[in-house]
Amino acid sequence: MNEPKRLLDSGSGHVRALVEAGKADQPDRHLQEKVLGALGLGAAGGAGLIAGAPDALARSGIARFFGGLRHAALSKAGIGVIAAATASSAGYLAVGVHERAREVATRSAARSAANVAPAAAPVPLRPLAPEPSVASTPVTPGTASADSLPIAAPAAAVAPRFGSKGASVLAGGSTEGSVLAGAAATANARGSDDASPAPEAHAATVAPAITVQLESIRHARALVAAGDARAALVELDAYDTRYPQGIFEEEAMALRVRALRMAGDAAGADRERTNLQSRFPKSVHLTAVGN
Amino acid sequence: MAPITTSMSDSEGRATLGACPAIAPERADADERLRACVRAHLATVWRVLRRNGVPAADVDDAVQKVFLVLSRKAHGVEAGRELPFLLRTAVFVAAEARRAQCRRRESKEPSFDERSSDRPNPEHVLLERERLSQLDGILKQMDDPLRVAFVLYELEELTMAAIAEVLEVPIGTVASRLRRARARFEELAGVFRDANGGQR
Repeated sequence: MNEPKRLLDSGSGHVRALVEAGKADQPDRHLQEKVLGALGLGAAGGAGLIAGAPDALARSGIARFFGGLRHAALSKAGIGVIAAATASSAGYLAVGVHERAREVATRSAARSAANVAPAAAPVPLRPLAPEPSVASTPVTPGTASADSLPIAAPAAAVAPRFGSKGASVLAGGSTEGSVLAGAAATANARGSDDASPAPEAHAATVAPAITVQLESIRHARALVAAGDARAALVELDAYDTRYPQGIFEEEAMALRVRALRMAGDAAGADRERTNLQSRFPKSVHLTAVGN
Repeated sequence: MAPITTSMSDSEGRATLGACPAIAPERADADERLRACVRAHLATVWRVLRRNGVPAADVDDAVQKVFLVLSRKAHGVEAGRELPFLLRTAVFVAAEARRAQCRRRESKEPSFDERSSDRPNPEHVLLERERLSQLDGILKQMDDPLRVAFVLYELEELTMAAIAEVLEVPIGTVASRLRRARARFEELAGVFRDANGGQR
């Protein structure tokens, strides 16, 4: 069958210009690094820094690593070392919460002068709430049969989100890795500038606290996704009580906006959104939670 | 059905979609294979996603998702056949993203201001953004099957046989969709041009 002449060669000037623009459009030059990093194929040496890590861990992708980590015991020294190594192989993952983690870690350190930081209080982990996954919804492509779908359901559930400051907590992606990497980065950043606990000990303190907080937020998010606004608000109240100005304060506020709106409290939702805007003027959640 | 070409250029020396290095089976260690795929096909996957309606804010995640699917299914993908698999996956992911966007209801399509560009000439950048904006506006108004065929043929320069392979439809179907897509595109382009006072 003859191939028709392409519009680039046969179209009008205007059409050619549009096609040319589309052909010339390019992704951000850093995207390749990001994707390779997310697949665990980042800069050489990243995985190799995981001293004594099982070979399977070193070879597996970051996403799989974080998935496995969820079920692993968060041992004291291990978490800092592993997360730091992960951050070095996919540093961008750490960016999202790094600043927040640093801020909270500083506060925690100040509070822990006489005792253990409140944020690190041993709160029992609740079972992981099911995450709403884009890939879990049936895909009915318009251009091919459903039988030909090459999409694996778990893929999206473990996909770390790029460049969005904690946004994946809401979006369904896993931030656990970036959170932990951020914690390790925080530990490293703090390790040399004061007499606070050694980096390893600090990472061991902060990382579990972050994990516990993350669990709470994920649970709230799952409740919102499931349409249980009342339960979500209870969870968010508990989070705010337990972790005033917690690491995920921003995400909690955004979730609260959604939960309030879902519960029919439009005024409350607007008020909370205003609070969010006031507290985090550049929040990536502001657009998502609407006006 | 003819396989997707892996030649560097077509008969006119124009770079084609197949201008990606074939990935030798003998060095198809899983990681190396995946890395080579990312390097070779990233921009293509990105453009196919973007032009098929994935919002700028979500496209990086969508690219990642496509390659994650490949990483999980690589064992079932014949060496050298990664590109059709990636494109097929990208088409599905784009459809999924469009549905998700509809569900979210908040149409938060960011402006093209979010695009990074190193080009120093602001007029050129502005013109390019306007054209891309028009292009996306036109593509958005096309039916999904027509848009997919159009993007793969006109923007990514796949052959009709290759598109048929990617979409797993008969080549006659591709030809039909393409014919209608081109007519629709030219019609909409005229509308956009007239709306802009015949400029650009």
